[in-house]
Amino acid sequence: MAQIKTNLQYGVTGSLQTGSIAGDAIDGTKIADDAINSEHLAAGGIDTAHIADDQVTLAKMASGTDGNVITYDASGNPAVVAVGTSGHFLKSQGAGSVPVFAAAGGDNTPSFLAYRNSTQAVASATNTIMVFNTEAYDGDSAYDTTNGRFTVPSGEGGKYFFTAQYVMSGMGDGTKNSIALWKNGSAYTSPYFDYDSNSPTASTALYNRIIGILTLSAADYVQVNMYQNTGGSINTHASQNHFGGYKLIGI
Amino acid sequence: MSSLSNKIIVYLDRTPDFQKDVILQDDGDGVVYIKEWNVDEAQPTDEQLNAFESEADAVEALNQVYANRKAEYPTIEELVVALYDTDDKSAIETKRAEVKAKYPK
Repeated sequence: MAQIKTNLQYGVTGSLQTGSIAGDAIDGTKIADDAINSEHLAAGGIDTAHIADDQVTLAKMASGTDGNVITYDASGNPAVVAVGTSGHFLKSQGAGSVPVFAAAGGDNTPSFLAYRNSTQAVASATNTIMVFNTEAYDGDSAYDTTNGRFTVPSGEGGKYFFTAQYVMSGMGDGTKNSIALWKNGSAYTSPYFDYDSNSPTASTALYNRIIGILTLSAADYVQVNMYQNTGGSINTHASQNHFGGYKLIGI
Repeated sequence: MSSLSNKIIVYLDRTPDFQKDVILQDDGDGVVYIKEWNVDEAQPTDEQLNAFESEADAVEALNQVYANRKAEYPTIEELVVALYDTDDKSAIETKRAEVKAKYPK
């Protein structure tokens, strides 16, 4: 006992044992500045309260993928939004879903434009589908040059804008000539897209035009219908005609 | 070959409303068929309609005569002028007669 007392009193190097130090007895004044390394800290031992505000700089964050964006997932945990396609924008998917990069507002497709490069006979008093047999463009292959149908591709339902025109002459004065947009083999009646005209003279070329906005579902098809009531068959002109359309966005 | 609409006109012995009573359809392939038959008379068979071929041809030809004559008759403006000029009136009558002779019934 006399030897131990002597060592503590006189500070013999290496003589102090751990068991000789009382619990919670070593305070900050007994630890040198900048002396504690991470090896002396328990893994995960630093809680939020021991990080001062405004102290986590960008340099202290782990490296990531160029272009990624940090967000939170449905569980509230940090998550990454993967880098998107050039020109895309960050798009919310609503509560509970991580945002994504996506095109701004979509585009006006499907779209198509077709025309006819030959005459087509229209029998009197007969609803006649005009077959525009040549395509100017048809990005989704939705228009069929054999039957004049534009068919809405799978997943592309919505509102579509259409325009069409054909020319006919050689009709008697006062006879009727019309053009209409048909949906699934019948006149589109809600609202009705039909334009009637009466020939003022037999030599007058009648330009029949129609535009319309139709609400369509996938697999619905749209055609252009012609009608005349001269009593005989009349040919359309082989040019100056078209049938085109595109999907509207944002409505 | 006469149109289906003219055969139906002959069959019914009247002109139906072809946008309501009898609706004919051509799907773009040149084949005309009856899509809807909404009149009291029984819908005719193809054989029955074909039996009216010659009569329907006559109707169609007559329609063509009327259309041709209308296209070449003097205009309303020419007729108005002729009311005030004997020579013009004579010319109008001559022109009308020529058109009728050109497209006889």
